[in-house]
Parts: sequence; structure tokens; C-alpha cells
Amino acid sequence: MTPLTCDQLNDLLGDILDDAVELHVRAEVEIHLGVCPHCGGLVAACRATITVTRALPKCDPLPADLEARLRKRCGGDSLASHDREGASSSD
Amino acid sequence: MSTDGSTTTTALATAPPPTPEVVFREYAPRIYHLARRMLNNDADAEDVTGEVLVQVVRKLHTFRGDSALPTWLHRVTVNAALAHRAKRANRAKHETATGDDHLLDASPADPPGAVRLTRPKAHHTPADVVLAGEQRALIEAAIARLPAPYRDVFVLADVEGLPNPDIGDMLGLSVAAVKSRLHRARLRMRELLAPHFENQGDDR
Repeated sequence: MTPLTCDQLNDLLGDILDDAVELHVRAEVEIHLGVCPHCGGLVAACRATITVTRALPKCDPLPADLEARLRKRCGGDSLASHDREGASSSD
Repeated sequence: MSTDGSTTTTALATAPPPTPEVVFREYAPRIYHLARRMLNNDADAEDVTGEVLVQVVRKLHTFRGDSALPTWLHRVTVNAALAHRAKRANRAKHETATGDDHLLDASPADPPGAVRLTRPKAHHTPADVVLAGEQRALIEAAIARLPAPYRDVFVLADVEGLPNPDIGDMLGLSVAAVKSRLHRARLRMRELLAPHFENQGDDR
């Protein structure tokens, strides 16, 4: 097994972060990360960054004034009346 | 674009088509926030959200409890945001797909300020991380500093959680191009957030 270089590790970084490293390379990656503080730190920092980013809520409730403007743009009350029509037509 | 993951998607697969009111309540916030993250502008995001919702209400009858609705909403929102940005770029020759590349390396990260981020442990998942309002604002500000082509890929991959092939389809990119942009965006995000992580000397 040839030891990975830092450049080779860097080339694999995207796959490492996506847990998509091919099986036969995985052991070499682990060995390199175990002995190279620079690459180990880089991977750990990238993983931490991805984890906190994925912890962001995908959305928050809309502010009331924005919701009102969007409802108006979509036809206002027709949103709800559309619902009532749909419910009665499906009966 | 499910609001909370597979439960909604599964329900959509078996339920009758959602009503416009339900779509508005469940999806308008997601559409708005995706557009806002892509466009970095509240007014533009509002415009895009309005356009998308009008399209959705008009075509909703074509969805028969189809689980494809969330995917379609993602696609329509991304297309509308890209079109909006293109219109703006035509008016004020701003961000272009290639011209922003150097910005990934140009602007310095913020100096470490009062906002600190707790470094997740290696075994932590996003569900284990609770972000305070100021921490969320810090991460959102870092995302906003990515050049548009990188921000698009980053938001769709690491905020929305979409797979690379889907992102490629939406943005008209090869999977290799998606991976390349995502890689560079993540490195830049690491640079921008690194000064704010606690335990700077302990990256492992």
C-alpha cells in the first residue's frame, strides 16, 4: 500500500466529505489522516463547517407583512376559496 | 422540497393533490428562503416567490398526490431565481458565472468577533447542533459572501440537502462541475467560519 500524499488527499477531499471514497482507498485515507495533522485538521474543520451549515433551518415562518403581500399576489382570498371549491367538487 | 423530510414526501405520494392554501402554508416559506439565499436580496426573493406561487397554483391540478411536487417546486424556484439574477445582471453587469471565481480567494474572512460557534464532535449530526439566532446569522452571512455560482451549488447541496445529480440537472451542470464548485465553496466556507469556531487548536 503506497502512502497517500497531501496533494492526493486534497484531490479526494470532496469524496471524503461526502463519505464517497472508494472502499479500496478508504484505509489509505484513514492512515494519512492519522499521521498528518494538517490534513486531519482540514478534514475535521470542513466536516464541522458542513455540520453547522446543515443545522441551519431550511426556512422560518414568513413575516406577516410579506405573507400578506404574497397572498395578495396569488389571488388573495381565492387561495382559500380554491380550497373550498376543491373540497366541494371532490364530494 | 418537503418541509420536514420523508414524512411529508410519503404523505404526498398517497394523498390527493394538495390545495393551493396548503401549498402556500407549507411551501411558501421554503420557496422564499431558498430564493433569498440564492439571490441575497429580500425584494428579489419576494418577487421570485410570488412568481413561483402563481405558477404552482395554476398547475397544481396536474399533481395527483404526486411526490414529485417537492422536487418540482425546487426546480421551479431555482429556475426563477436564476432567471431573475440573469435579468439583473443584464441591467447591471454584476456577477457572472466565470467572473466571480477570483472572489473565492480575494475577500478576507471576518475577524473573530463576539459570535462563537461550538465545534461539533466528529460523531455529531446536524440534528445534534442547536444554533442561536446570532450563530445562524453568522453562517447565513458567510453563505452570502460566496460568489453566486458557488453559492447556488452550496445552498442546494449543504442547506437544502439535494444530491449532486439533481443539482446538476437544475443548474445545467455536469456532476463533476457540481462537485468541483461544491468543493471550492466548502473550502471558502471553512475559511470564513474558522475564526469563529471554539477550540481553534483542536481541529480533530
